Amino acid sequence: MKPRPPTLRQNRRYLLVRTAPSYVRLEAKPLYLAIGEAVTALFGDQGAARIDQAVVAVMAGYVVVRCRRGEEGRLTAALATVTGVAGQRVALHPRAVSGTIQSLRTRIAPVPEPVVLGGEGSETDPRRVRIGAARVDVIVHDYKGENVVHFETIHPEDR
Amino acid sequence: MRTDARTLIDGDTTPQRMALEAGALGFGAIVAVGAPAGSFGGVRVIPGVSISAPNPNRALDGIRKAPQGAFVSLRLGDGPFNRAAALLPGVHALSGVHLCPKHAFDHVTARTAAERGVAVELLLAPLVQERGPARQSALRRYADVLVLHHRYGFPLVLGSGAQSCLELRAPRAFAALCALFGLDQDGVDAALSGVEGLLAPRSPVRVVG
Repeated sequence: MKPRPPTLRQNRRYLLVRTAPSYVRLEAKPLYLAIGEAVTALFGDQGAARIDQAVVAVMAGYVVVRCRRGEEGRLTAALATVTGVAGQRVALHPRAVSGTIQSLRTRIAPVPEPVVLGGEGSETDPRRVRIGAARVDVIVHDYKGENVVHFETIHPEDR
Repeated sequence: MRTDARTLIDGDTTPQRMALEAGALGFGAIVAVGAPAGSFGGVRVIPGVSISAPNPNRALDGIRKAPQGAFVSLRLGDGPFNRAAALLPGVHALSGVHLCPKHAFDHVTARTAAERGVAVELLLAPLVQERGPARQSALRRYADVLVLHHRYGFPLVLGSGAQSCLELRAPRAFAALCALFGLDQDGVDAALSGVEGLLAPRSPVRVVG
């Protein structure tokens, strides 16, 4: 199939989105479905078709989401309403908008590698994950099998 | 300074962590209901008091018990209560406008709030966490408040209503969500920086010594 000439192609915008918590490894397909559900719930099928969103790249702590040019504001609003992906609590924070993926890559700040401090994840022995210098998440698997996440901060003297 | 006008510490996040995450998102301060005053990671934590009362007298009791320097928000109710609530001294913001009955926040309350410099708090939580009729109702109420805001000029403040640091949203997301009910970027900027002005209102006479 012959590709369309550039002047007839759809203009697109790319959003760099930070994912939180950064240690949750997201898959592209569940993320695409979660964003699609959020867009459809907020703007309906017609709005979703106009936004034409897609997940382009998934990296550690970041994702790149694509939309039609002029619809980036609506996509940002829809991304703000995403509260979970595949049953896991996640927040998506839009960081930058650009016309090319390459320029977004230059704006990616390195995400601190999470360090597991120990623990099995049970109620008596919760798993502790340190993110950067000051953030610790305490993860407990309760009787329902769900992940309950509590957040703490390391005291500066203990760093 | 951008301030998130409503975070709650009865969830899974400590106030320190909430402040750190808010700072990473671009806020200079947060109002944390139930937290002591402080500063963490360069982000100021303003203690918040949220009062829900069946009548104005009980509300006044709650306002008197609020600690010095706290940001006091009073939950709106029915029409007569709201008109009285806007007149109560010591109230910085009227909250829960998306939960009160239709037309309960009317032009009389709006005019009183404007005259007394009392803000109306708009929370993002019903837009983020609700779906369907609940979110539609919140969008309708916020759009209605905006009509009165343009007419009478009472201040607005914006809060995430976050109980967890995963429920915080960046100012960019605030602007995108507020655009859904018609609040433009300038309005969002004014609302996000409105808490400081409410805590230290300008008065015509200032005692300097």
